Amino acid sequence: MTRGRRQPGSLVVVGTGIKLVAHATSEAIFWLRRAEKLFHLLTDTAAEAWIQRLNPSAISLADCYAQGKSREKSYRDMTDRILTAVRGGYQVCAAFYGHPGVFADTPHQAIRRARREGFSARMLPGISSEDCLFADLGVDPGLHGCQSFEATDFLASRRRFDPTSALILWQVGVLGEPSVRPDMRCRPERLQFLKQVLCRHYPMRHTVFLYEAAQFPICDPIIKRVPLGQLGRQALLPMTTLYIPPKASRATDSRIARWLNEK
Amino acid sequence: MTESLRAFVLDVSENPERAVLFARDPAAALAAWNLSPADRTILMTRESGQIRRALGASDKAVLQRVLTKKTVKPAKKAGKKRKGSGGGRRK
Repeated sequence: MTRGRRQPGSLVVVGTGIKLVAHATSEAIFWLRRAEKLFHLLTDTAAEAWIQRLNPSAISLADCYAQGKSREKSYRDMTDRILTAVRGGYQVCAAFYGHPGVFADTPHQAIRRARREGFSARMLPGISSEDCLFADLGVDPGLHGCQSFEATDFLASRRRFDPTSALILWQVGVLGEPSVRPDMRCRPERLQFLKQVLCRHYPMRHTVFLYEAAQFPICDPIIKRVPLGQLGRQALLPMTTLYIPPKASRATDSRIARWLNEK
Repeated sequence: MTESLRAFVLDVSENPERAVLFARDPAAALAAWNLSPADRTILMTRESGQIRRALGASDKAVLQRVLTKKTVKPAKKAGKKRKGSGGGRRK
């Protein structure tokens, strides 16, 4: 697009949601269409075709990944590419799978850097895997609270948690894996160790859920219920999330309850 | 990946009523589409992973884009404990 007078560039980062097309908000679609430069990092060719149809200027950031290149360098290259367009005076939109601010480095980096350089930059939320999990498993995080950890970080940092609140462990399917390789599965000995850690806090018969959200409207989510004691024997796919429902509810502190009810 | 597979997936994604039809009667929903038997079989599984792979996205590429992995590095060994330093496990 040619413009007579260059205005300061700007950046809007949007999430396309988990389920193709269906999860994109009208606000996100507005910015996807309106952008003078549109960058995206999506997961399949149908999603790329859809975004290309919305805005022919769409450019994939996928080529920032390369064999042997570190993830950090790939993220930096993506951020640089987005920022170069913003500095060039373009209204830039960057679209990412799911929620752009959840488990994503580049969107946060791009917004921080753009703001630091004096450009307008903001993030619009998208539907995340967590949102899908709440809907598909019928979980209300407001009832008992909800704790959410990246699975490797949960183990390695010995995260403290409350077993009477819900617990979600993300990326359990790639527990402890430093890099991505074809046909990845969670290593049984690691899963067994995770089970042992969890069994210190929950009974062996406590039901847990292995979950993967549906990515296309014609698909069903993958939901598998297993007793915690059998977790170590499961073959987990890389995208699997582990949801552990809360065990018996905490008793309310009667003194605090009385105090709260006082007029 | 076939173009018609991609077109079908986009069509049901953009038209929820066709996704509903597919859920009710997959054979009828697929009848008008020139899909290969392999593509039909994949669609009938209704599994995101299989459809994604058929659309030309390798698991490795998808994981690269979707997953954020923590690099677990062993903590640096602390020097010799000094007496009266409070010691104990780091919190």
